[in-house]
Amino acid sequence: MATGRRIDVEEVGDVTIATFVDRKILDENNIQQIGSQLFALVEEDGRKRIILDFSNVEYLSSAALGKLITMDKKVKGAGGKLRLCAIRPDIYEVFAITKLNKLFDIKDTQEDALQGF
Amino acid sequence: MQQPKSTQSSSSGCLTTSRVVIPSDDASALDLQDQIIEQMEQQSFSSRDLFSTRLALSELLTNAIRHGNRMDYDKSVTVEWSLTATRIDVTITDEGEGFDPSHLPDPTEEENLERCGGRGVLLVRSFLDEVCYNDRGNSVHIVKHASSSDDA
Repeated sequence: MATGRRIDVEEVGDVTIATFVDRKILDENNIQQIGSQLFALVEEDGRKRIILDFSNVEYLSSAALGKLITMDKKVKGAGGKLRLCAIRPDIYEVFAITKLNKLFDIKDTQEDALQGF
Repeated sequence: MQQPKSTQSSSSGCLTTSRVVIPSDDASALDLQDQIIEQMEQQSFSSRDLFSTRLALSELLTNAIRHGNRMDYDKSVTVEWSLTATRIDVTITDEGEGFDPSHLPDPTEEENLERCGGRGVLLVRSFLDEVCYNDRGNSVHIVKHASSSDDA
């Protein structure tokens, strides 16, 4: 099984931008790794303002949604804020169908996400 | 990793029918998704159709392997599909006990919104044209028609 970095992490001021590396987030093992790397941003690094950038992501499964929900809870539990951005229309529809577009703070672009964050 | 236990395919005109039996592991499921999507790409399916079908195959194969066969490597998943220029039919059957898809909680209800699972079947029903389970609930038949243009 391939293991490696599943997210690119950069900092803009005190905001952390985590960009998904994968085009397809469908494979369960992959999703487990993504979850671990996302949760570490909060639990190990203590980051509180996090933007998840989906610009590379073309496919996303419901299992990945579960990790995003857990991430949202962890960030909020730590008193932080989470935003999602750069979600292409097909993927956005996945959020809309499941009504998770109401749960998550979703912005069109990374610039929009950074604004007022 | 085990190889597919059997593969059969036949074609007449533009119709292709195939049957593959895979072990209960994610890598085999991913390979099979790629194979089916590649066949669709050679027909007149839009990128939107490919997105919908790949998402559905991913959700249903994951359900078959994880919830149906409970990752038991002694159990297999049988996938049969037929493809024309304008339509794909896929039947996915696992060796599990089955489930009642009419009794799934609605994941869009307020009290379920923060639950980590339970959205796969909703997504499959939303993105495909037909989704039909057998009585036992261990076999699902799906249909996706080619959309008329690529602008969907």
